[in-house]
Amino acid sequence: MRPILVLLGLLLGLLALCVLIFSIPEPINGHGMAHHSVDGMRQAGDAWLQSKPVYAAGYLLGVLIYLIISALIYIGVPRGKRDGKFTLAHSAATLVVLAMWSLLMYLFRHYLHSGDPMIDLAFPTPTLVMLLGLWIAPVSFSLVYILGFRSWIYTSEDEETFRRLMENRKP
Amino acid sequence: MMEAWRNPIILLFLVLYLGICIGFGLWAMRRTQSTKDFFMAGRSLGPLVVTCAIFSSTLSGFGFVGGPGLVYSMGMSSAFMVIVSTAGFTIGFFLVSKRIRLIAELRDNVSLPGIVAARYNSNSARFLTAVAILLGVMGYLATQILAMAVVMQSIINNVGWFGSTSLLFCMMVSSAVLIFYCVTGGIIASVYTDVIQGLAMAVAGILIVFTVYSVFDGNLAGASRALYEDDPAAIGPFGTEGIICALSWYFVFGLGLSGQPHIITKMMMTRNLADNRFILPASILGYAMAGLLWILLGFAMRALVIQGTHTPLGSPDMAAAEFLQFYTHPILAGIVFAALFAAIMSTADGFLNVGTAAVIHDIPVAVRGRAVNNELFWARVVTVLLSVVAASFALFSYYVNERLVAILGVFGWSTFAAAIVPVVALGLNWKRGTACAACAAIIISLALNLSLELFDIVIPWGIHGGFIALLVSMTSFIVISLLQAPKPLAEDIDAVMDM
Repeated sequence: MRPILVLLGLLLGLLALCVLIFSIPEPINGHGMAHHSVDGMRQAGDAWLQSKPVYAAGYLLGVLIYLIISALIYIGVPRGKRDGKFTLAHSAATLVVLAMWSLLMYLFRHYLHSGDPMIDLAFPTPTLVMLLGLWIAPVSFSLVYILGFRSWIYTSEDEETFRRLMENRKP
Repeated sequence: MMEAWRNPIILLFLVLYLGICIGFGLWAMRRTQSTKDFFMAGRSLGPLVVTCAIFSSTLSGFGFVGGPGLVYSMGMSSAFMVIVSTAGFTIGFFLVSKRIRLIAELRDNVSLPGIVAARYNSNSARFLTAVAILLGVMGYLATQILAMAVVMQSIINNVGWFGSTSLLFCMMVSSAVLIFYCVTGGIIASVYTDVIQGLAMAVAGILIVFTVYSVFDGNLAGASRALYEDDPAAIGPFGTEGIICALSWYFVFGLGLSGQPHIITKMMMTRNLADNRFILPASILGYAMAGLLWILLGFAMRALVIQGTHTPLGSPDMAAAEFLQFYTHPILAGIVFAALFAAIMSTADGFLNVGTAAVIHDIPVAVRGRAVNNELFWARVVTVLLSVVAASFALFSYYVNERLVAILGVFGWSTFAAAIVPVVALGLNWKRGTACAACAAIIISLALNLSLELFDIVIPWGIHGGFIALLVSMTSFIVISLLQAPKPLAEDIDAVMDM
């Protein structure tokens, strides 16, 4: 299937998911509320009450967003350059970010249920996974760009083609 | 001893920084001989300069003032705007950086609307892109100029040597420096000041890590535990606003980066396309270092207030300023305040440049088929005029009607994202994208974003309006293009899109 149709499918899926999310009754703390004692600060209050109705939809939302990012990056490499190695590297990068997202959501559920702050290295473990994991995981896509630059992004043939285009352009 | 001189030291750093900006303006003036130099730096920039220009333009005054304020107010929710930078920069480099640079050289383009016109062979698409940019520039620029003036007023008044300094005076001084280096040196001065600005921001970000650590005597876990006991979600990964809100920000700020004209035009200025291999990781790293300020300052202030160590802030936007005032070494405070000014100015000068190009180059070309005569002269005149108009908007908003800048401000990140991502990021990678679809995507995105703001529409679960606008505009672009018969591309554009 053509990648643009895959992207369109994902975007339509995201729109459908939004409609589904809109249809879920929002609790009073659905997107936070004023803090009980400090002006200008907000709180969630009962975090499980806030997250439970949209936990599954939220997980799916994250998956769709990462698949859209992955599809866009796939489209960013011309068809003629998408060889087996690129597909493998791209798929691996996609799996890395999806795995990190799944780990975060798994830990978040545990965090909400356990009553244990699970603090490691200054932050609760799920927050640490968000800060270190989700921040760094997309580097896997960056590595595809950096290491595959001469194979998939801008090859020596491209340089030659561009040189010819510049020579032949109209004054 | 040094503590007694805290405020003068901060002022000294600010004056030094402004002096450096003026120096760069004078130096760059001699190197600015043509419109191409003024808007594109002659497409001759090395990797370090482009890196700093890209990441320092990405982190505006909003990141330094609003960002810590959001973390103070909402816990970790807004961290999603920061952590998406890795994905955002990577998407931008995959989708935009190569073709925008090649088409710019091939067609001798000096602006983003020029690239759009070349890609779609359409002056309508050029015109609409230029209008979207101009609307965004006015809103963004007004907020940046207001932020510059407010920060400068606070610094000068804290010193107390000059009595009570007015906001108008501070706006005139800060805008004068901004205008001076933008007018004299154009984008050359802008990108070289970005190097200083970017380095200051990155260094400040690292130093803040150690400061926050020392403020809590190494017990950051204790601070987290206090936040947990007050409200577990606040220090959880999605903050107080929840999963859906945080992810909507992630989407808009990640994908939206490829639609920010002041950022992606910097990708047109590289001397050598192969440098992109180094610019991408360096931009990610630079932004990450500077982004630490956003997260850690807000986290520290929320914890200090919850623990009762610090009194509650009058406004969340005071989080960064209060932390610097009360908990940092005076020299570090000076560096961070200079970095704050740098963040504001580096974004403002980028906007001035793309806004000026829209006014004196793209709109005239789209409307009457040719650019104005003596473009370089008019570029300098329009740079001054844009600054004056934006400063007037900022003053009017501050003293008379604060909703004006809020409405203009909506034509900011999310509108650029919704209007430009489909047209540029998708359009440069998909030959079937049509001019009609590009125009429709821009109009839909502007209408959606403005309607959401004007009618105060609150979307359930805290979903960001820009998320809906971007999603709808991307979908519309693809669907409308698929419904139309494809048109052949110009031979050279077709060849570039095969690369």
